[in-house]
Amino acid sequence: MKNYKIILGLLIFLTLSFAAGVLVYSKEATLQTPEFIIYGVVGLIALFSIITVINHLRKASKGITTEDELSRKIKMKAAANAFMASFYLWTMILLFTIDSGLSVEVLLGLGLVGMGILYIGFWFYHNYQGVPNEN
Amino acid sequence: MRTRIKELRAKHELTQENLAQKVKVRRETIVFLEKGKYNPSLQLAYEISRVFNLPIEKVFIFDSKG
Repeated sequence: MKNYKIILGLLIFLTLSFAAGVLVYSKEATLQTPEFIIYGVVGLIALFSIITVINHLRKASKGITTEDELSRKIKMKAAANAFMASFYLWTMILLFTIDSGLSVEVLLGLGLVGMGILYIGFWFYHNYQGVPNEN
Repeated sequence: MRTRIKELRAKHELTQENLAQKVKVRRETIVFLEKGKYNPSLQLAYEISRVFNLPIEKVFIFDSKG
């Protein structure tokens, strides 16, 4: 319970720091809406990574196994599904933004962030639903 | 495939956490195994069977339905 509170405090601190950073940056460089969304999502992915790392370190310090054959299978399955879904994602991005006037960097950023979100989404799904038995 | 892990765990007074530590996997893996949602590798099946001192076929029961 104590560890949980420390992690929660750390997460709130990091989220607030990130939000403050974006706010300061936005005052100086006036971010466009798509860019702001990208920064927000990148921040969320960074937050997810930090949570994962902290969780792994906490378990490793207690001598608990953090990675095994099922967790590796979940990662592979999530990566494979995200890769397949990203074909549709890139097609949608091309279809709906071809005449939008958005810069190439923003489109690439949207696609890459989208792929990251897809991976995280599939990882969560398989982590709670498991991977189907293949026999 | 059905498993008798839950039943054997209770018999040996082992928690999911204890069994997971003995066979060096995460507790979540034991949960999925007990629910029949995951077929383990041959090595993991062998290690679990060894904890219960039983042959693999007494712990994991093959069911043609999958």
